[in-house]
Amino acid sequence: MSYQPGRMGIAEGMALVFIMLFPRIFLTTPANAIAAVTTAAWWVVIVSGLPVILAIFAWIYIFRQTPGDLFSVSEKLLGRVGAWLVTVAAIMVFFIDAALVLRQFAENTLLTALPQVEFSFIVGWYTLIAALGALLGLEALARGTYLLFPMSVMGLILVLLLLAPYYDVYNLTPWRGYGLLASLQTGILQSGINISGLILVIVSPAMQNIQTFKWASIFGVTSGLFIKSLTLFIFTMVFGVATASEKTLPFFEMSRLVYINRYFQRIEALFIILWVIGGLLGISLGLYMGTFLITRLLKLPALQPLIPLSAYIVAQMAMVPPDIATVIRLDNYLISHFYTATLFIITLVLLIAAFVKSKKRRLQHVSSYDN
Amino acid sequence: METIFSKSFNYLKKLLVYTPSCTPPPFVLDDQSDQKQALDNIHEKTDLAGPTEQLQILLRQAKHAKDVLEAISTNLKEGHLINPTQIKTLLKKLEENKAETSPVRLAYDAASQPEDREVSALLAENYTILKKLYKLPQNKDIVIRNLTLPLSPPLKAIIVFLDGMVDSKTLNLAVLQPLMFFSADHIQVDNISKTLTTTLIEECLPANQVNKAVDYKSVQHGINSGDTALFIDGVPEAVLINTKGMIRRGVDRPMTEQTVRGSQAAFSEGLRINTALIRATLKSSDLVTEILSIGKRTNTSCAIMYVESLANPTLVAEIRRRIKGVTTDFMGDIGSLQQFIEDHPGNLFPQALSTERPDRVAVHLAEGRVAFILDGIPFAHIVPVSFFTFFHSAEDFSFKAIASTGLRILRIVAAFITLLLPSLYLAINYFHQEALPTEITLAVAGARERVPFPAFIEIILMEFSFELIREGGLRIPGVLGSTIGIVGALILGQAAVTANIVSPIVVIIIALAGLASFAIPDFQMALAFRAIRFLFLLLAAGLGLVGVASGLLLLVLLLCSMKSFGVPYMVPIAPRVESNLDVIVRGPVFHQEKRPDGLNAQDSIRQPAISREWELEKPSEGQKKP
Amino acid sequence: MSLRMTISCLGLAVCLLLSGCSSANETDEVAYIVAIGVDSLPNKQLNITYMIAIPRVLSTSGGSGDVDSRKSVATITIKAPSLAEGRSLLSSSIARSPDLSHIKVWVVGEELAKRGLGDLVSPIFRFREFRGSMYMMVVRGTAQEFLKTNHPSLEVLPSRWVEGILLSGNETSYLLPTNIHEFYNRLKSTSGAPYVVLAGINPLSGQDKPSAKPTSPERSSEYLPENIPRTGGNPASVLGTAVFKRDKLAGMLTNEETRMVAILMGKFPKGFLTIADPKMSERNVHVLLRLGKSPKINVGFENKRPVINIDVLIEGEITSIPSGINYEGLDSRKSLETQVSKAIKMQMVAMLKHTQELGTDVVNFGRYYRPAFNTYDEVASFNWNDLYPEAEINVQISTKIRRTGLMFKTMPIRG
Repeated sequence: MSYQPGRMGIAEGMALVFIMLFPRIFLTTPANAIAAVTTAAWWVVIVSGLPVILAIFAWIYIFRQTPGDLFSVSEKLLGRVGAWLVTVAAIMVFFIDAALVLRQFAENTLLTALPQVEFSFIVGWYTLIAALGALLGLEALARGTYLLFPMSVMGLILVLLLLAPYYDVYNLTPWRGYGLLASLQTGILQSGINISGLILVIVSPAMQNIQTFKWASIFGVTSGLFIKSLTLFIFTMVFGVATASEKTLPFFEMSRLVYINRYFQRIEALFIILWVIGGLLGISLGLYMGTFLITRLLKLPALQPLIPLSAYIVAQMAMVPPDIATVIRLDNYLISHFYTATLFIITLVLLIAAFVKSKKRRLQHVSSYDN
Repeated sequence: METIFSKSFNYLKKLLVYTPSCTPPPFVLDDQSDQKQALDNIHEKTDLAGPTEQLQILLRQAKHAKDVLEAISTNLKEGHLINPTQIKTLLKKLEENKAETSPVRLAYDAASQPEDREVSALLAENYTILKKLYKLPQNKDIVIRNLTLPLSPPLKAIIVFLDGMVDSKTLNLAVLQPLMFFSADHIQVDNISKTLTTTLIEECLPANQVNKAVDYKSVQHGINSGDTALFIDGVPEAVLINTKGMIRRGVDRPMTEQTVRGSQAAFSEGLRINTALIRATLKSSDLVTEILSIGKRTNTSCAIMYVESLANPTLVAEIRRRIKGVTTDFMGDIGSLQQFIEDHPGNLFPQALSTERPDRVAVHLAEGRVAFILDGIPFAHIVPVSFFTFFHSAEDFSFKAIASTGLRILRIVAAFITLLLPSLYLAINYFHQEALPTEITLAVAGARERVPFPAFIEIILMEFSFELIREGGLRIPGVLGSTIGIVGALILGQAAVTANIVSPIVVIIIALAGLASFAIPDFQMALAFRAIRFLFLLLAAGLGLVGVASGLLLLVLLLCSMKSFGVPYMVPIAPRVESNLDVIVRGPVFHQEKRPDGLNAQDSIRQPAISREWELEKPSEGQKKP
Repeated sequence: MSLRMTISCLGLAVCLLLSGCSSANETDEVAYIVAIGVDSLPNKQLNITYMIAIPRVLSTSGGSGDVDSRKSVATITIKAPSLAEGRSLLSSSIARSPDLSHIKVWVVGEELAKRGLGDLVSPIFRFREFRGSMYMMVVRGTAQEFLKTNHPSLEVLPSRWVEGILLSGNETSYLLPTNIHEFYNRLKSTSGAPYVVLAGINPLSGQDKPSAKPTSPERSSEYLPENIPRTGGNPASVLGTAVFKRDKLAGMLTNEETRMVAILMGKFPKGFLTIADPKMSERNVHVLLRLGKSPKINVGFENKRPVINIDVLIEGEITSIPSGINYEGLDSRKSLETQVSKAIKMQMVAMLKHTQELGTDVVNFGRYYRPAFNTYDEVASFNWNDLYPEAEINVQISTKIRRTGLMFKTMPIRG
């Protein structure tokens, strides 16, 4: 394959994981979360990240038994058919995620930055930039993300802090939301939203060793969860549950509200750069990962010629739903059903298979001593 | 018969009748000359050329034999020889020359080009080959001087040199004088050819660099660089004596990289002057200079300098391999050499640091980098570099840490300003008018009410005129340069505003962006930013801040995918390696303990953790404890 | 290969430029609206007044020196059934496309507020051109009249004047600057009444028409905005608060009541108070007050009746003692402090009674009770606003005089 194996360090891995979790903050996800669990949204986010962290530990165990990337591991553990099923599921996850995020970002742009631009033009433009990014390769994407994401995160935190005059702590009470059990249930059900945190599983030969994989994934997922939790915390404080669950674009509304004095107001235009870069990197990486899995599946020699084609497919998929409300509902539905199921099923199946295999190996080892 | 009628008739005819002016037909370089060249080649390869050449060689050998016979006959008196030893040496030499006339050798020599041949023992043969090589007698630069070495018997020799490339004093005093006056004392009587040149070199030629050459390629190379070649009759070797003395510009002040503190020496055109300047700053025995020759016709010398105990050997091998692998005709500029060997020649961003200051080169060599210099160009290129190296100036370490850090941050901010300020103005003006406070928006809108052009055309107009002023300012003779700059910028801008062609805010923006590009220390980097600025303008006018953001993203990704000689371009930020407090924030001099990690130098520790060791001890005249 | 690249790059550039520059508007194709006023008309129509800024007047090369506030804006009024229709009609009345992103203030007429603002506020949050940080005002009278007569003497743009006066409300806390975001939040939240800053058109006749006469120990009367006795200056005046029940205008609070609301909300940075001298009741003492620390408010329930305990600490600085009594000393200071506390308590009790009569919980005591609930459903189903009028409120004010200004004692006048 065309990437250099075994060179990526913790920083780049962390950047990759973080950027897959980051773009959804700028979409309707915070408002959906508040609508689902009201005041408990900020800690339910952390709860929904716990299965992914457990999955990372599971994958460390699997990698200790059988090193390799997703396709080769599932091939060794489950055979060709199992490997095909797992990889096709992963491809679908990445492509659908990229398409939905692309669609929502395009709608976002139409709503906020460029109200009268032609819809298919902006979808095509975003796809083009994402495809160009994916063409430059994984190394460039990882390094560029590592360079850019501190500024994005700082911009986000700046907006959150500048809303200090509007904080009302009582908006967060009662902290249990609809009830402790109900909130936990919703959290676990929504854990599919963080499935992209396992992105390093797919390119694990590119990491230096298992320690790098472990720390990069854990750091990336925890920092992503922390940022999401902070955003939801402040969002709830500023808007209150009722108003917050109505908003289509929480981040945009928050940045609009900033009003410090006569000169420092109406700064939401400058944060366009922030979420455009974050969204484009997320889409580009999702595109790259999906194409990478296709090449691994079909044992193709090169990745780059396939990218224009998959970009076109993703763009067409993004334009399929008829309106934005359908997109939001579809996104929610897919997260809680398809992504969560994929996360749990694939991890559990592979974990059990690895466990069985290691037991068999130990038995074989023991029996060979007997002879 | 010339009658008055015929004369007047001719005169009237000349006056009245139109005759086309007799201009000669114009000179046209046609394609037919290529065909003619091919024909010539074919002609040379016809069977008659080879035997002709063989016959001529044989003729020259025969002439030499005739001379020997004449010498013997003059020597022969009454049946015995007067000088038997002399005759013996002559005959021995003739015996040795026989090797040259063997049929195989003859055929080979006859068929090959002059520059592929080897030095012949026969002086006449060498003279013919040199005539063919240097296109004598049209070429007046080459001088072939006959001389006689006063040995016994006296030997004929010729020296060949290029007029203007040699230092006449050295030639006269160190070559001709000892050869013509003093060589007799050192050479034995029988002057065997095998040891003759060695003895000559070791005992008679007091020049500091002397080499032997057996083939015409090295002879040519030597003569073209300014050496003097000495051909001795009967010796199939040439002696190349170093008499290089072309007039060169001396060590001057730097033209483009001026600093407030730091040395004011800059490179000059001579290769040896430049290597000497670097060596004077880095007086280490580990500093290695390899010299390669590039270009088929120019044979330019390229010197690669590195500190052998620091530089990564794979890096040096790669640079050597790349420079050796360049096949071209003309190599006159280090910029074109750079494009031949760099990883991304199509990319605007420079991948080697081009400097004309030897102290800067020494600093980078001590960090483990490699420099290459080209003969005739007063610039050195340092590889491998990272993006942030271009924002360091030569005197960064001369100032204190905080001041230097502030200046570096200013330069990076200047880079952003020059890239983004006009595009941000366009984006906000067109799409996001709410981003500015109301008073400013209304002031800008009011000022633009009178301007007939859209904002995009305004900015393009002003950018174009700024670039015109800048480019024109490069070529104005020095006396008028600053005047035109002031006239152009101030008055033109002011007049444009008063004539309502542009609005005042656009003038301010363009001036700021242009000045900011001067703050970037490296010229090529500033050029890259200036060129990309236009692309950003287009994106901003088309898609507003979304366009600017996508352009910025693609730029960052492109930079992160570049490599400069094996080192990623954005190290130490992009692949996260240990940065030694020298990227943007500059740490104090006494904290620079490690070399840059990305270079993978052999020895990564520069100085111990406590480099101000005097702090650990008490001063000798210190205060007693109170 | 490079031919393909070149062609595709050129094709992209052509696409980019042919996309029509997607809604790029030159600055002279845009009309900047700085204020909107909405009034109600019979048969469900709205009278919408737009205040449009004239850029030429404010530009550097255009306006030379004396720019009058009359010439810097153009006011256009349109009758339309809705805001959207009004905007369409506006864009066909002026030669530029209206840009609503610079709106500083929404002015709502009293009639429309009484009829209910629910219909008006919802498009504000859905349509992207409006933003939540815009200020909102209710005018006693019509918004059209307010915007037309608003001619500030010191500023060039009337919208700048509005922004300035709202931001300087913290000089006296006689007005609470409100933006639409807070109004909307109060509309949708589970407790608390929406409130909007009140404005009026002063007749500039100098007539004194207080809403309430001063009761000892306080010395100043309470006013609604158009009743302040003054002549000269801008006829538009902003003072007090309009309180809403659900989305209809329920009542108006005077300037002193607004100050009390501000104190209870914790937003009282400074304000002057004139009280009768405790020891010489025909003279006054002036004190400059500020909130010492956030008010401590406890909400509890006693047999189905809410009990609210309020504890406020006020810090003061003496600014004038005409009587010359040495209030800087220890015992006299205590009496001054009690006097101030008495005055403030009186005003606060009056304000609370007024709001309880109106049935509007402006201070939003309900949120202090939220932590007592377990889940959000309980909060959502709990109807605080109906229980508020029966609440028993115990107010405890303590004052501490910290500073005495530049003089620390007064010598008597001789002769």
